[in-house]
Amino acid sequence: MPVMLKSHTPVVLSNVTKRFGSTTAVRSVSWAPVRGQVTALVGLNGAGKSTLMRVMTGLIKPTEGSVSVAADEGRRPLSAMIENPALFTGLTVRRNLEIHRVLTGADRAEIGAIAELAQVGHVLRRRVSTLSQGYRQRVAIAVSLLRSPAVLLLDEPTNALDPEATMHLRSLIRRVADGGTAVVVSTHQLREMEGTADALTVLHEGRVLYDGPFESFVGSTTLRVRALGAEETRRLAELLQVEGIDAEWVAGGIRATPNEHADQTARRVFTTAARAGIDLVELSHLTPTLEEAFHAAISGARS
Amino acid sequence: MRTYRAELLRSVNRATGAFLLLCIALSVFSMVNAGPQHNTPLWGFRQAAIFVATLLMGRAATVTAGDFSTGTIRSWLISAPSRGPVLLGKLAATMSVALGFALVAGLSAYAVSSALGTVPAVTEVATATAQLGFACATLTLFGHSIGVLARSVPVALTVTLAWILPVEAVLDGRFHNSEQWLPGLVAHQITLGQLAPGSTPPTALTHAMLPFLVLEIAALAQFIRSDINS
Repeated sequence: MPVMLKSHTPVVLSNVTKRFGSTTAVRSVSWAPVRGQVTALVGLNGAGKSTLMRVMTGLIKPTEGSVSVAADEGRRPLSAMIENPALFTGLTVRRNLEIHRVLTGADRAEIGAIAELAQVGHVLRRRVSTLSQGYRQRVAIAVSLLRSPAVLLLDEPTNALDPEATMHLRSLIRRVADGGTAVVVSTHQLREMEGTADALTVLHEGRVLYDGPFESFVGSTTLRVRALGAEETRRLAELLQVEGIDAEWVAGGIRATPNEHADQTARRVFTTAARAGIDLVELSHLTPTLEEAFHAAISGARS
Repeated sequence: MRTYRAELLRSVNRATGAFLLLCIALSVFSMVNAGPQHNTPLWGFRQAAIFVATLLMGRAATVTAGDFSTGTIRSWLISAPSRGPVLLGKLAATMSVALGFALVAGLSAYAVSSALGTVPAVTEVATATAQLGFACATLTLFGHSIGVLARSVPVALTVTLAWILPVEAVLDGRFHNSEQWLPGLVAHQITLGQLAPGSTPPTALTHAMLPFLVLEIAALAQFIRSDINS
């Protein structure tokens, strides 16, 4: 009998560990994706993403800890598309959808709507074996959307999708989340999830390294400042510190870390340089990329 | 119930239709060739029955193991709150298909026999069909359980066919009353309507089905407890 949970966390993992023989794939993970939110689950190969998803779906049982799934009135508790699309290749797309409709208890009318949503309406009569990998992926996504799941797990959903289909999928994921589903997307393509994901969970060697808002993971913008000549640059650095700006000498230039909006700090840098008669040759905003932030997090974990 | 209906829906396809035609063709071939051997078409039907049941055993093993090797078993499990009903629903559907095949084969036997000039008694055909149905159900149970345990189509097919064909033949006669205990052999006797000396219908039915039932229970226990990594 599923445990009745708070409505905003339909699935809760409590101290979950999964071992396969001597290998620990997931270590003491306590985690709960939030309803109405898109969470990007990222990590290196072998970090434990797929294992974590399989534990959430009940396909594999945790060695320690527990998974609680809320019973949601009228909605399917959990749906997933894990690894390769698991479709009956000898049957048509419509038949595959119909089989899963019966399995999930969804209404007959949903098939047409879901097929249009996933852009497979025009291939309903085709056998799955005749479809490209990209279309099979779309059909698998359509299947996973039947009966409005409370939690939707998507494992590398953009594999084999063309750029247009990827864009469509991202907007679909957003719409599904806005409808109240907790969507978890496992991906290697960090950049793809920018603008789509609300939250980010970083897994490394089976542990959660980061679990929070997507924007917070990237880190704040800094300013890179250089004057005409090394001596002038050093003088400027000292003047900025007097002005209360966190400025440090880094690799031939100044890195100024704003404690206010970056543009305001930039104005103050410019004004300070102008007052001192220092000519600036560079004043630029530096925002770490998602990949840089990810690699920094992984490197930090390794050390 | 959902699993049962979904599995039945999955079974309704061209491959199943072709398989049904194969089973009917096998029966018809045997019935047609009964005449030259101075036997009735129904006798021919009975001769082919164990082969039809064996084909259905292979089908059960292939479909069940195939779910694991292709990963389609995931869909069943993710959609269901517990595993036991999933497996039992799939088994029930597979059995229903097998019994449906037996029924169609029986009806075809009546039609073919009549067309060949020998109109059999309805009770005779019904008995032969019921015996075929029992053999189909029994061997389907075997194929399904091995499919769950093996999780690989080649392994499941090898184990089931090896047991039914050479292994039981080798074991037959190696121990006392072996012809009353080897389940495949007993199922064959039932389809022929000729039990081994000393065997009664209730004991024959039990000896044919019980070992496979035990195997199915073991498969269910393993299925409920084990991880699905496919």
